[in-house]
Amino acid sequence: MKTGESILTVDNLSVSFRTYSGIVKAVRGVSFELNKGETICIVGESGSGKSVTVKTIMGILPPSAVIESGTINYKGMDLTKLTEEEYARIRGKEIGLIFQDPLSSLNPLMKIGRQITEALLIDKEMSKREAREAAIELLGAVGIRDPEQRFEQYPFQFSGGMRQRVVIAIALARNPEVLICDEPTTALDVTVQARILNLINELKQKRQLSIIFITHDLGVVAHMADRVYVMYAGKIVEYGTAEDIFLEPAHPYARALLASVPDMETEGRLASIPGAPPNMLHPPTGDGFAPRNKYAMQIDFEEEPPMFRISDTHYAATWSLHPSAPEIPMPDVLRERIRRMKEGGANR
Amino acid sequence: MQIDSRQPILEVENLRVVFASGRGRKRIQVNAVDGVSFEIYQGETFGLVGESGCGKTTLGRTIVRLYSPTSGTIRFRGRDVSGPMTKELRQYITDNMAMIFQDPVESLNPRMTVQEIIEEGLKVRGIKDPEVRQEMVFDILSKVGLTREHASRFPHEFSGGQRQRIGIARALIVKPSFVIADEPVSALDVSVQAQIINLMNDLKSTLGLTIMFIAHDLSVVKYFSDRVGVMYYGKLVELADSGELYRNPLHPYTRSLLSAIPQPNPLTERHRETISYDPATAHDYSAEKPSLREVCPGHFVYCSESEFERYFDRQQTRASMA
Amino acid sequence: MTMDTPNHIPDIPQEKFKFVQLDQEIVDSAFETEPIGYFKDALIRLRKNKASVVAFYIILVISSLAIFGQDFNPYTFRQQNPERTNMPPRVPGLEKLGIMDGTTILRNRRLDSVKDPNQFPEGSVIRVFNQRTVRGVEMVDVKVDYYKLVGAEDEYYWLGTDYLGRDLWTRLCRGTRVSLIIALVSVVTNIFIGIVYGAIAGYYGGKTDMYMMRVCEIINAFPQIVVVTMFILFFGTGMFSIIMALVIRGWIPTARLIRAQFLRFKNREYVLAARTLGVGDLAIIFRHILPNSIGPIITRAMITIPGAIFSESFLAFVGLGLKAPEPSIGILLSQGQKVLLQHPYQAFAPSLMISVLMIAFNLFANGLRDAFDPTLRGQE
Repeated sequence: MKTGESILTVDNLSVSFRTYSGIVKAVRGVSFELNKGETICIVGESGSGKSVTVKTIMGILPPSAVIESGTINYKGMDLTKLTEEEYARIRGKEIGLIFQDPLSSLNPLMKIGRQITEALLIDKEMSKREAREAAIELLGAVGIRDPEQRFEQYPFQFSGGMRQRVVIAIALARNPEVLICDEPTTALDVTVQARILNLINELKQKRQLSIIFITHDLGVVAHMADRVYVMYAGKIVEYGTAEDIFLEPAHPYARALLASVPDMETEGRLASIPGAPPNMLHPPTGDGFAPRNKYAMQIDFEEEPPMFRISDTHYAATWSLHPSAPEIPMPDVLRERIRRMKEGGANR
Repeated sequence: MQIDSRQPILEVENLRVVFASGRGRKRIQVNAVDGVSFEIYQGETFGLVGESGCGKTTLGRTIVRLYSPTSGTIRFRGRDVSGPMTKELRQYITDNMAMIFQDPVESLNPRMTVQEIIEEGLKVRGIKDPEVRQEMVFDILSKVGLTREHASRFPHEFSGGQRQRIGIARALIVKPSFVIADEPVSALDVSVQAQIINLMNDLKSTLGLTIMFIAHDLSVVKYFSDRVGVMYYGKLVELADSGELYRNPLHPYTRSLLSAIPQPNPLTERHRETISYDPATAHDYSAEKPSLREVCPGHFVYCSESEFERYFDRQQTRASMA
Repeated sequence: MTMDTPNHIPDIPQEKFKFVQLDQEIVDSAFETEPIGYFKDALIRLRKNKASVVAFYIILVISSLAIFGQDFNPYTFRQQNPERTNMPPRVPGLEKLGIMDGTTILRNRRLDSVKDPNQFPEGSVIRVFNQRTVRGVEMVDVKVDYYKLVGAEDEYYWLGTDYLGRDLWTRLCRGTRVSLIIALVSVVTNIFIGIVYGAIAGYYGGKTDMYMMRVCEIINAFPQIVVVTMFILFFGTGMFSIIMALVIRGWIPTARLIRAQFLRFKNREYVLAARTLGVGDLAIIFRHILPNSIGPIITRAMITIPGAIFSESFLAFVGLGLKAPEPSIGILLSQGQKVLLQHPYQAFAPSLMISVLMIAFNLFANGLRDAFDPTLRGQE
């Protein structure tokens, strides 16, 4: 699938954590690529390994983590092999990061302006005065009114949404090409979330950013994603364009996930996913989702499914795509919604 | 509407909760709940939505009297429960109402086993025999989809959804008739939310509960509730049947809230326009005092007289078109 | 795409594609891991901290010395012996290495007296040096085997004796015991008062809290040394008054700590949940809040023990200590200090003891603090 020029490629990445209960295999052979100018969303529940994956890319894993295998290729560099000093040059300059909690990512004792100029001054290409002007411009660009007055204020004087805008401004200060957003709107109210998402999209257009967006909110995925990767139990189980995933989900987990969210039209019983996510101390063999899948087959428990190709853009790792596999029905809620979506799309 | 024929189980009238801090000139007053009135009927699910800081959690906690109302009345089955706290009143409230909390990590005592957490309400109610209590705990655990092996474990070993089910079991083992669920799913993964919502729906019908469901996610509230109230800065700005509220939102804040909710549909979601709401420009309350008015049966909006007429007209044209 | 897409579809027998759990109800599986409780978790992390483990063993050894040490030799802590005053340390075995061999240096002796076998018996003089003439008299410094000198070749005072001929080893063990008892009792009392006071202030909050905290501040406003001196003058010296002197202000930091814990925990959702279930105040305090503050409380206790030992020693040092002949580390230090130049060993042993105790308790307390730190839970 060559829709564009690939800027970041993750290949067969495995990351483990050492705890005294044993080794937690958080990420187990994840591969994906980010093309120039696109937004990919990585969806999965907590513990699926999505956050660990982006932390590995940023080189901010805790000391108990070990990269077992794999490469992260960014502009010909393998990020897994970088030293801390080399990473310091990548972080912020090449790849920006926005965290979930805007409050804890700002220093409460430092004026907003200084926190932005600090990032700008790292490269030592600007004078302090230029940095100040650039910072005020950035604050304006992320939609903060009266940036010159706001420049002198402290984080506590900002609301949650405004703080997240500041965090975005800091992340973009050094003009990175890739922006990683780790659940940037989860802590925010919906109306604020809508504005932040639109802001990110706007900035993406203006600055030609490539974005990796981590979330568990499927509505947000639908809003942001060009392509979607679905993660479960440390593996990518399905990926494709947003339309592929939302209209023709193939992996039982992707289907179950979609069927478990109500939208405004949903009536009748939600299809909940039974059971609990696997304990990654003892990762499941075969298809990780099989124990929670009503239609699990013998083979699902025995052998790990390969990535089956559904279309040029759409792949899924599930044995249900094997020609010998029986037909597996889509959950009712989901079938109904997809029908509605397709009709709505046709009416447009 | 047959709402009138139904029995209100909870009546809240002009409830105000004011938090004050500091004294003298530095005294700050926050009207967390600012003159809210509504009724909840026997057997229904009443949804309450609003953004953080709008007072919905305070409202819920005031009803179970974790906080005391500054003014206004709360009546449960006709009995005033908003007066000074006595031992007898405390018992009446705790016997009839239970609460499910938001945070699956914070809401379970990390130093108690699941058994101890769930049976605490039974102990308070004087069930002395540990075997009886144990049986009741096993019974409720199986009702919320856990097994008896889980009873001896500590909360931190469970996943978020499992902990929330333990919280539900704790609230329901004392057989309340009215449950306040304060954002029970918002801290959970979407995949687990459905599990909890289905569970609450099942328990509601088997145990005959009335539920007040507090949340910020309008699509979950819409799905789960019969009627929905929308709160904004301590005030109830709109109250209607959930379907009606979704099809025909009248208050500009409700409209902006509805427009902001991302839907799992990439075809429409990418082009969705959000409506922004700014109370300063949206209303002119300098001449007329706003209040909660009934625009059509069962549909209340917080508005001034002129706004009411506008809403009413819109309502009429919509009705005639249909 | 870097991902390999299987071009060939794996060949798998048809019967593998049967649904296996179509009719089963999928329930939450039981846990495979052993439950790890709060204390077990803390213990695991405490063990990882080498310094704490060493400190713990040191505390253990010192405590057993305090309990059993004085029975190791035939002397008692109060038995005086005018013929065996200020004996230097002598330890069997070690004496062969040239340390603690019962030798000492006597300065400014007349050469003729050194040579007099009545004053310096045969073999007691090891080395004569620094010979000089002062006003026509030959003076020397002389290194002697003091035990031979006083005719006690078969006796061993491991840490020597003091100016009354009491065995310092026995007194040190006894003194350590007394100091530890004073520290433990005062700390336990402090913690107890602090928990009750802090719990009431923190749990009820508001006006109650304000008044109770003001009382604390008033008590705290009196200078410690003045209060303690008055106290001891009034009640007389003795273990009780020293403990009371340590308690009178010592509980305040604990009360503040507990109050802070209660303020922190009382609005936790599980406490609110207990309240909506109708659980009474006492049960909430003792079942829901206190067990969650146990970590900081234990840590606090451990941190205050060396402080109490030190305060007791300080009081003894300035002369507000126990009645003679009861020793404590402080009393031994103060007596040793008086003869520091002539008999440095008398101050050395108690100084070493108090230093080791302080360091061990502090290291152990630090380890405990980290072990109970909830933010570090479950990490390696």
